[in-house]
Amino acid sequence: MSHGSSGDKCEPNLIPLLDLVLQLVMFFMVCANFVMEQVSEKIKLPEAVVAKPIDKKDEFIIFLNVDEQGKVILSGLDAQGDNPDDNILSNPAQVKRYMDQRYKEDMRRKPAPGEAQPTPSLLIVRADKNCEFEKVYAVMKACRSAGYERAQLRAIRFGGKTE
Amino acid sequence: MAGKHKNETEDVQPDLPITPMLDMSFQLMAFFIFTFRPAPTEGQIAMSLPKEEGGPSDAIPSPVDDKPVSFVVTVDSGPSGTIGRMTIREKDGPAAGDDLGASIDRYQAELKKRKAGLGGKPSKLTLEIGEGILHEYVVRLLDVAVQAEFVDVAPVPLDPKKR
Repeated sequence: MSHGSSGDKCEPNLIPLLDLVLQLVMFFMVCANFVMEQVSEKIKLPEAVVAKPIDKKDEFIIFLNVDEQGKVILSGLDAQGDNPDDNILSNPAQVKRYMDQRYKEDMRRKPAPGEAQPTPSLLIVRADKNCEFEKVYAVMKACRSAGYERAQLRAIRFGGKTE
Repeated sequence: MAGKHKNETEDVQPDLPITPMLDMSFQLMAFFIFTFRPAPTEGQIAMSLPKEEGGPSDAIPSPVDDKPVSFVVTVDSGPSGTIGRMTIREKDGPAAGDDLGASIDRYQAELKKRKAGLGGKPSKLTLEIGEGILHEYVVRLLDVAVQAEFVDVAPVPLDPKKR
């Protein structure tokens, strides 16, 4: 900024302001969730006090988004293509077929050190709170018959924001 | 930028146009502020998957292991997928269980009492869920059971044909 005689322009120093704004922009860019991993935002989860965060030991996880009608929606990395219809499993038979395929993929993986065979992925069932339990159960049963043994139900941790 | 020609002896001060850059940064910041949605705090509840049909039901029990004490909570459906009435009984005990009504508080108190009465023995809880009960209420029952320190909790449909 210059001081002095007439004709000199008085310019505010914008550089610190620009620095601050760029830092804020960076913060929002880092926090923004452009891709919601394998979770579907259509699902409204129930609440639970005892819900715990994912154990970091579980490297391989399959997310099963079960909507209000009991259909499984595959999204993010689990999606089977760009066509939305290919990513909706409408009945337990389709779920079973998909899970059989995933189980075979799991078994082709290199086993962890000290283990004879690969550990199947952990299933995380994100079921809509308004879905009837029997429909959720049918999905879990299909997973079990495909060979999966470990499953967890996903919920909003009590006090967490739902939307 | 002002295209002034100056004498070679004078210092040339570069004049960066900060204002357009600041404008753009504000626009970016506004975009991120409007699209910013903090991720909901999600967590998992561990549960047992349904047993495989025709497969071995349990591991071979060791003679030194304590046999787990199994409790069964039967949940009848109420109007619009809610909990109607609950009864609790020991699996190997009399068929008629203790009536808990539709109260989650009574269910919680009963579970805590029964768990305390086991004196550290392993336990198992099966929730027999009536037709039409919503997933939200099942998660609530699971939540309360885990709070009462039951580790092995398995929700199944009330109708044995659907298991």
